[in-house]
Amino acid sequence: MIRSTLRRLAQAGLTALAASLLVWAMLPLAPGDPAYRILKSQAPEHEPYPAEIAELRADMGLDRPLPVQYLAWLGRVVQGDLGTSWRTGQPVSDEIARRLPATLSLLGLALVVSVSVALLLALISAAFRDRWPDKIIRAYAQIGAALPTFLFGLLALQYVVVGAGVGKVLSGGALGMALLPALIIGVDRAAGWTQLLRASLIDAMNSGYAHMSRARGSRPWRTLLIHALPNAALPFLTAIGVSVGALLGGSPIIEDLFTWPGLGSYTLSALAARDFPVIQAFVLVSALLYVAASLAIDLAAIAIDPRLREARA
Amino acid sequence: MTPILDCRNLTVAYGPAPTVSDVSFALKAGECLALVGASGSGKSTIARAVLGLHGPSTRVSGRIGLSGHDLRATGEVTLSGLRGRLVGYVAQDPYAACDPLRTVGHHVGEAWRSRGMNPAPGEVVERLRMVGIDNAPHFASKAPHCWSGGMLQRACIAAASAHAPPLMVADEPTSALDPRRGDEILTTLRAGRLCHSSLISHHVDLVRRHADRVAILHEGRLVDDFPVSRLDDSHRHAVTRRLTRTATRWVSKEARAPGEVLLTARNVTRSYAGTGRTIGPFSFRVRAGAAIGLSGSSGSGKSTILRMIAGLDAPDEGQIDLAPALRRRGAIMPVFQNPAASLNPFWPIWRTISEPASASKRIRTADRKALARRLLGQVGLERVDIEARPDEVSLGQCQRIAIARAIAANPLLLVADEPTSALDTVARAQVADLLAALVRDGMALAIASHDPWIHDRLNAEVVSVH
Repeated sequence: MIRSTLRRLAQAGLTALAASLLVWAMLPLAPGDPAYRILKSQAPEHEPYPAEIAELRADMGLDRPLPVQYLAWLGRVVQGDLGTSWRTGQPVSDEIARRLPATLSLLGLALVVSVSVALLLALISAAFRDRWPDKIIRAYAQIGAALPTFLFGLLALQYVVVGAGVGKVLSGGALGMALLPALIIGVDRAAGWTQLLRASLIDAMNSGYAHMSRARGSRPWRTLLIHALPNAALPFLTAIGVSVGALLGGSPIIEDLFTWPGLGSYTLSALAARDFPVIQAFVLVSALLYVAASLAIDLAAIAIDPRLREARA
Repeated sequence: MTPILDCRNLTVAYGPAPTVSDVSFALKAGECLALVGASGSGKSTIARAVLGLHGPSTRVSGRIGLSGHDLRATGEVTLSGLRGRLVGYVAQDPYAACDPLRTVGHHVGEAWRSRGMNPAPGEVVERLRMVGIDNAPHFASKAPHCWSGGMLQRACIAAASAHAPPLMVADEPTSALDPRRGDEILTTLRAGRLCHSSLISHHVDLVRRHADRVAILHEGRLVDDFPVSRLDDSHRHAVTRRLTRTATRWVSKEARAPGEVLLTARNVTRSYAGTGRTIGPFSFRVRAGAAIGLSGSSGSGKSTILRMIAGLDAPDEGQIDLAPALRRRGAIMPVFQNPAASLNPFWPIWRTISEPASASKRIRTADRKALARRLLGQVGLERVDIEARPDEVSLGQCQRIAIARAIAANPLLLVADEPTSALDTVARAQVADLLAALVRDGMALAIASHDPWIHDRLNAEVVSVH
């Protein structure tokens, strides 16, 4: 158990390092001279002089070898320095620190909602397989999985907020305000998971151990909860881990839709202005959160499944 | 005296055609009845019906009387109360029957907890000890994959007999195990205090030693029912005679000139990481037109040696030399233990069979079908539809299809891992005959089996693995 956990931790560290290399490489690999692009984005009207460009190149250390540049950048990132915004000249880390909690509370709440909804619906669906509760839930899952989140969000805003007058179109970022957007994102996200978990649960209910459990007098609900759910949880957990990345990647659109003052909407405005350090920081934060989520999921899987605890040669 | 189990005109249908039709039999207290038949004859369907476990989409008719209860007239809630108390169940594959995420101690304890009770402290360990598990406290806290098949099957018996049910249903309880373990399991199952009557469905040779009465099933019908002492009577039903004969018939050994040496293994050893266990050293030669048989009980390392022969695994010490002819792709082809699992369930069988031939070059569909038809003829299945899917043919036929797929690659050496252990006696004999014919035609064969019968049938040079 300890060995496989340590191995998984080391893998996560390597993945994070590789991600940082890719994120950093966005700057030197992008076409054109970075110094020129910075000056251009700060003053779009003004064509920079060669002397200005040379000065900035020396300032930023762009004339040093690439590995040295990377290590210097990594060293600054580890100390929490993500560079300064080309647009505002303010440190990017400060802005991220201010906005990250709002994003995390929205996505966290959405995650809680979607996991709970998927869990409940999939269990009901598997328990009443091919009867009417199952049919209704399957219809929801099918439609929900096919609809893009932003479309579902727009429809929800139109009919729930504007139409029924529940909640607000403009939100302030407090946890209480997060409930409605989180519900919309969560219910949408839960559709695909419900399908997945239902299929895994039904597979598990058809397995030898589930038959054995029934053959010795266990009621169906008990077999479902004691045996089928833990076994079906493994693919479900993996799907959740992958979705954390998708949620973060989709946060610019979602936050813009709900005018949520989080990381996503900040990045969206940076994208429009080609504010490179901000985009870079967003990608880095997303990648690290994704690695952390995958690590948490893998450790949970190791805790659930004794077969994963054995050291493989 | 009322029988423990009384089935009258039992008919079970999954689809339009019944799988079991009009089967009647009764079981007295203390009696052990063996249901014998080829795979697909309806044994497991009857076992499920006796447990009342058929789903709503399955049509069951007739009467199933269990200790005075009419199962067909009993609601699901009462029925769950009867299961485990009036009838215990032991499944074919103990690993599939245990939840892989939980300890075996939990599995045995579920016998109480699923009925809303708690096992008395030490009860689980005591039950495991009763079925002959040494060091039971240690093993009870281990997950099923840490147990050997024989031990785990005994733990399953301990779980099934927790409430001393008067009837025990065991569905092929030994077919996943080697014959010696099989004897131990059936002895445990019938051991005095555990249960009064049992219904087992099993191979003829074990039935002969353990059952009191034999009922022969053929295509869903009960064709014969007699005391076990009359098993070898010459006037028995034709199906009975075929089942008993294939279990005991031997082929005469014919002398053959040994062919070219294809593979030489010298002092090969292999250890298992984390266990400190080492197998070997082994030295043997594989010749064209001859079979080499690896024998030994489950878990002895037979599969590891086969993997090394096939080049999937490297030996720790010693070396394995291949003749140049064996180095081409497809020269060594595998045949697996579970034929159903080794065929793609979504592919028609012509596609599966011709896959090796089309791996390196494109072949027209018509040619692939012709090839599949020719190879099916070679394995004695000319009457099987090449458009059929694996679930439409029997398990024995699946294994012959898997062999047809292997020979589609024109191999010089077949590597077969327990190719017959999942099969019933009739299919087992057919597959063994097919392999013997291939060897006679010059194929080299490396086969792992715990069954001495098949080594003998193939005239194999036997290497014992411990």
